[in-house]
Amino acid sequence: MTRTITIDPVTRIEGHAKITIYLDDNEHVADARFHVTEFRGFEKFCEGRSFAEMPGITARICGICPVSHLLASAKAGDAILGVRIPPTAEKLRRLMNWGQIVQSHALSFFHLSAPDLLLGMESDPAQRNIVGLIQRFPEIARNGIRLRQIGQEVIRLLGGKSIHPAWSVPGGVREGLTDEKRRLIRAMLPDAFAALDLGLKLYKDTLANFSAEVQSYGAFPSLFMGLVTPDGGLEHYDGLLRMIDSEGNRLEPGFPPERFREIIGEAVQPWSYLKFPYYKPHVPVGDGYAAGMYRVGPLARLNVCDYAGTSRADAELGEFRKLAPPGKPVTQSFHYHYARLIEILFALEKIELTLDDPAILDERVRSQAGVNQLMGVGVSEAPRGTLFHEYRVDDNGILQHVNLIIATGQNNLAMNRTVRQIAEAYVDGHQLSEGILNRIEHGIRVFDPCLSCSTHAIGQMPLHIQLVAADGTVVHELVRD
Amino acid sequence: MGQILVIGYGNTFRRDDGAGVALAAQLAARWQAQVPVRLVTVTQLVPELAIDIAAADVAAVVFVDTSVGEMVGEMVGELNRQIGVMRVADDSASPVMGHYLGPAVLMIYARLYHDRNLPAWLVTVPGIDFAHGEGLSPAVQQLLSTANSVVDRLRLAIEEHFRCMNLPLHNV
Repeated sequence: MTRTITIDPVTRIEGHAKITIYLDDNEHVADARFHVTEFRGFEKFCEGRSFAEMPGITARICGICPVSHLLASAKAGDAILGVRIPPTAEKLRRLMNWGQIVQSHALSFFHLSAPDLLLGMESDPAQRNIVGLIQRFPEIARNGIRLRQIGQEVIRLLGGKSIHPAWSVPGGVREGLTDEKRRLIRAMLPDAFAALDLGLKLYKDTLANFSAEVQSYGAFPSLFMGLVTPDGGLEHYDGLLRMIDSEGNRLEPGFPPERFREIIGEAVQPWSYLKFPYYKPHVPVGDGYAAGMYRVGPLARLNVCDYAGTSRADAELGEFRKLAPPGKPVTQSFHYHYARLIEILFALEKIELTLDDPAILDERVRSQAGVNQLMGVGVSEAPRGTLFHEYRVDDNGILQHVNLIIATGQNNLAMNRTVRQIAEAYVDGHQLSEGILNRIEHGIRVFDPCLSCSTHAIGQMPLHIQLVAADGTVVHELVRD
Repeated sequence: MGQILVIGYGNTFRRDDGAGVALAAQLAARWQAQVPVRLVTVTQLVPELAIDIAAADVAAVVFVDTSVGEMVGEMVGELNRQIGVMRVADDSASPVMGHYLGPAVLMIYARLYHDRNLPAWLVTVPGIDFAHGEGLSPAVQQLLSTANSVVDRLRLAIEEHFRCMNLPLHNV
């Protein structure tokens, strides 16, 4: 007799999903699946549009990380134009990217994950949320809100608005940075560093309480991928792709990102709208693609880089590395939380350094050209991981083909495996509890998935979990309104 | 001097979903001669708006949004039946932080964030066309053209609230 447990939808992640846990005849977890039930269709309906429109269109994929799509799309457009953008434009794009990393990671850690970390994985769900956090830990909550606000303000000061700024375009950016705006950004940094320090302290103080979770929330070997600078530093905007295995071996020390198709394949399954990217060289011919599973995002970026490049972030990176044997990557997905905080720190330090660069105020911020190439690939690191925009155009710049590989999609295989691992550790076939369901959701949440992005339908679905016997009898049922 | 913070929100690329933004601008423009007003327009409510709400010079908050279909909630006074106005209740229910953050939860954030317990109202404009595109439907345009009476009554209701509370609106 096989029974099925379904968690539908998953709360406190961006987008909508369903989790199904399959039990065997002995009521042990046999399998688990993370279904993404949204379908967006951007890759198809963008055909026939001008490539110049794509930053504005693809930014609408998401309201949390639109900057990521703006930048990757603009970079694909840069390639179609065949231009090198002005140095100041690159600095400004990087500045906005770091602002986005600050706000997005702050949202993930302080709003979406801190309630579990501080209030307990199995605490009362009526309190295990941001309001409960504000009531019991007001300083943490206040600083989390402030940190996200600062990241959003950096984006707004550069691009005119914090969500969907029409600013990064093929060839560069629309507008430069004024001295006044630079001053305003700089003035916010002390608050940002203070908030981040509180978050770091919170994580380090509470980590000992989660030793079991560290070992069961996505703790398994896998490949890791991210961008690095030409000399192996932490990189979020440009650079080379690096792929390592769980022993720390560099499978791809520095691969040109525009040739990503040579190493990244995409599989599909009928039970999810989210595709399954995989590392092709790791999949023997005729074998399933699961052998090519890799992780992206903060954990992966810190694993693949040799150093960060800013003083405090490098110090924290040194502490992060101690979570794994020497020379090996950190494989426990729970530590995505820590990696996110380190990346916020890195971003703040880089913002501070970049603001001091006199060239940041240069008014030459856009290169002009027509269509000079019919294929353009733009790659950058979104908060959640590596993002690919691939466009093929005709001589008039009209899109003939669009392919988007989203960060969250690249974590799809790992998220599925994480769900199964948590279910195996905590679910017994006899009884469901809110706490167990929240654990499984938290396992997804450590990846900070953006499902609105990765299925290229916002609606509230009631959470309804049924444990159903093979004969169709509902053995146990939970409803969350 | 205390301000009324007017927050209009909605997606102006989804036709009538932008009606809240349009009415918020209309409301702020009409009120500014009588009361200090600060207008904020956003695509959606976000947690950091709690910082704006909790600012020392804010005395009251008016959210302006679009609704779909039937109005929800009690009406305040004798107002236009099509544009809804209601007090924002203190909703202590669990706010799941995802796509949607409502006015009630945002007011809780502001109260807990800076210990400021402000009165808030929600104005909703019924929309009928949420297709992709800019501009409001003719029906909503017509509705907004006759909305000044609602707008004026709400301002009076807010001023009356402060009189009943024996609080000066303009000197918070």
